[in-house]
Amino acid sequence: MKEEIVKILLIEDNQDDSDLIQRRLGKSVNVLFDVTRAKTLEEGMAQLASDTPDLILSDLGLPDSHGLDTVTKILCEAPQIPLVVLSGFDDEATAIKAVQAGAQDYLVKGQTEGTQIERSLTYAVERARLQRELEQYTQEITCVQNNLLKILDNNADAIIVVNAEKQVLFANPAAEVMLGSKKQDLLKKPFRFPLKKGKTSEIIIGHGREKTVAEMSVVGVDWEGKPAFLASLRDVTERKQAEEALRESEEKFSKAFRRSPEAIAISGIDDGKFFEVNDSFLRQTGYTPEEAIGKSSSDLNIWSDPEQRAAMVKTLKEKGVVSNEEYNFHTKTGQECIWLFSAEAINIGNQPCILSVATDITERKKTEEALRRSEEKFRELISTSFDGIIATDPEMRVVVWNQGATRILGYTEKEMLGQPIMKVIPEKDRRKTEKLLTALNRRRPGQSPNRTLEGACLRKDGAEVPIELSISSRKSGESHIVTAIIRDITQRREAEEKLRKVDEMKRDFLSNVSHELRTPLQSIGGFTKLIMNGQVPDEATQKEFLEIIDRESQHLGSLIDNLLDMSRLEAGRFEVYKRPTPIRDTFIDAVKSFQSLAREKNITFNEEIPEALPEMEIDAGRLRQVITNLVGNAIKFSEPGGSVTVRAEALKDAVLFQVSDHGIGISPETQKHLFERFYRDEGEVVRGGTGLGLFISKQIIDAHGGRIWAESRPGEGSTFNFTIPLGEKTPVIAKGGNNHGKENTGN
Amino acid sequence: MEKKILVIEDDPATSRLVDYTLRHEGHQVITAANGLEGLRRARNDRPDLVILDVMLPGLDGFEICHRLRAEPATAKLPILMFSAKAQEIDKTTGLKVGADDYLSKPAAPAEIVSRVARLLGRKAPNPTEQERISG
Repeated sequence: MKEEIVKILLIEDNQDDSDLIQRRLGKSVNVLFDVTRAKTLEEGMAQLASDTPDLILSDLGLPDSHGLDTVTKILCEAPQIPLVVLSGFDDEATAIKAVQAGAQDYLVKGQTEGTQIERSLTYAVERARLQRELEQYTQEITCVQNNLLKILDNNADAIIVVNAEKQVLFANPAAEVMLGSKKQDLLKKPFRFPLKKGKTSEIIIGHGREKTVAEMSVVGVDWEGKPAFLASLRDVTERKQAEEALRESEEKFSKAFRRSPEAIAISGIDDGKFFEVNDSFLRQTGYTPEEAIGKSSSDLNIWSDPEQRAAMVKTLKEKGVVSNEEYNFHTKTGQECIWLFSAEAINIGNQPCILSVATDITERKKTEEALRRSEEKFRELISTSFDGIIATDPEMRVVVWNQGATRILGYTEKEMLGQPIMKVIPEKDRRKTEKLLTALNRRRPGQSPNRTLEGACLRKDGAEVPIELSISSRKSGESHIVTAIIRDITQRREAEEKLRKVDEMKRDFLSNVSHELRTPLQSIGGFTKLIMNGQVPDEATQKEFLEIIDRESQHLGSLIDNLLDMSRLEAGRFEVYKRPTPIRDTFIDAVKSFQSLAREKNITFNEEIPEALPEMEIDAGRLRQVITNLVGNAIKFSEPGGSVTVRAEALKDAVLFQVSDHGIGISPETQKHLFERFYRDEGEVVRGGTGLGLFISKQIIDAHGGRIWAESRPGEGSTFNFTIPLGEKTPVIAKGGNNHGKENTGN
Repeated sequence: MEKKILVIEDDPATSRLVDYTLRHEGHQVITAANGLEGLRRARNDRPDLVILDVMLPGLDGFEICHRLRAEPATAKLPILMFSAKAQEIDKTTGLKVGADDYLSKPAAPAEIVSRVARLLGRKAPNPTEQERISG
């Protein structure tokens, strides 16, 4: 069976030859030759264009072409079609040249025996086919190789081939970059990294300051017929750095999470189950990790008010965050606490979660509350302090002004806040005050001890108020605050002034007592001496002198009595002993001794004491003391030629006693103080006296429930009065009629 | 030699004592019970010496003394202050305002006489009587 058809283009101008060849070919048993004939080269070429044969069999000598030209032309026209040439027996040399020029084979005419022609032709076809295939393969291989080189050139990994002697045989551009050397510097040079086939290792290539970390895989290859290593290096520096950074970052965040002083927890947004909690969370809640993790907040009953959690979750779902909310929580032991709570919604493994951060502010809240209360307390204290509390800033403007300050100075807090403090400082003190405040402002706090000063402030109404102030300064933030506590010392000043006056009076009193004691002593001693020395021979004169001595002795005695009374009064032991006494007798008796004194001073002494005066509960001795004092004064303050009148009168419910003189009189100012201790009129009239008489008289009259007073006009004279009230069962002792006597019936 | 002595003294008893004592010595005595009267008499009656109490109604002794010294007529008049104000300060004040001597009460009549005599340029008659009364 003929399995193969080979199409042949036979170009032969000789009909016989071409018939012969066709005949021979037709005898082939293995191959069916389909022969197309052409007589000239031109005809043959035309045939080529219409149908491509598997082989061209051509005579070298054709009518339109000869010899090698024919070969060249055919090969030129159809290079891929195998060509077998026919030559004459005498022209074998040309045929050989044709083969050298590209023909597959040649056949010599007349020598083509048996199957030779068939074999030659099929071989030529086969050979041409093989050659074509080879060319195709070669082309494909070249293409693959080029691609491979391209791949190598553009590969990001560095690829290096090293032979058994560790010499570099190949390096791609990436290798140049990675190793930092040019190809020519690498080739044939030793490769310094250890190579192990089939292993991946990490190498560090250091050039310059930069270090490159590379991952190197090595495989064994056959390179140009010799075993070699192919090392592929990948730059993993960045990956390593990123890994390191990630590791550090993770560590950092993990540490931050674990060590944070704030309680951090991650829990499911819906079920509230804790995935992760930190130490602070555990510390604040009192749970162990085993107790907390996997449990929900409601399992643990952490939220004091579950509605707060519901509200928080709602906000979180709406806004994604909850920040700085104050919520109430329970610890494990049930203790209530307040957390400042912030949370963010996050997704972990597709599950919506809450990342919460909380600070326990229970103590802070307590402290704040305590502070608030304390502040309130101090504010209250300051505000209601009776003393004025005023503070000023470094510009000397008022920053604190309490009710006490308002009370003392009249300005309200509203009127003074922000106002210069100088508003309440008297003009004359302003410079001094400014200096003081400046000095206090410059000082460091603690350096200025509290100082207590006395000064004056201007009240709203313009009046000066004497004040005591203590000043201190303290630092408040960046500025100094000077605080003054002021106290109105008007009353103290007055009391001090009074005390000073009393002291002065006491001093004068002592001097006066001395004077008062010496005066009667002068007469007593003097007249005694005269009489003793026999210088008073005249009996009447002697009697006169003795009377003086007697009177002055009594006067001295009463002075001493006054002093004793005084000390009794001061000791609180002054007493009167009242017993029923006819008061008229007491009056008469007391007045009697002044008759002679008045005569001596040439003063008219009038006595108008009615007969009808009641018997009264009195201390007669004391009452006499009062009368002696009043009458003595009247005579003392009367000029020679003047008169003193003593009157008594029974009123409806009291007995009145009056002593009038026409002396120099008493000024209204003096009248106010007449009955005060140690008081003496210190106007133009300077006269002796202890200043005790009227004071003691008042005490005595007071003790009798009566009243004592003076009526006077300066220059016209004075009238001293006292009354003794009638007791409930005091009968009037009527002793005959008298003009002045009133019908007083004691009831 | 009889001299005219003005006694300005408001205490009648003392006035009487001094008056009697000096008359007993042979002097002429005129008295005044207050300052103004005293001044008038010092001007008008031309005394040889003034015995002047300090605590007087109206003008006090210091003031009178001062005034007497201020007036030419009485500028040289011997003045003996005689007062129950017995403190050193009183004495100093008295001498400062021009008194020639200062005698504290109580004083013995002989002491008064002696001081007067000394001021009048005469020797005291009896030094043994220059003691003070009481103490």
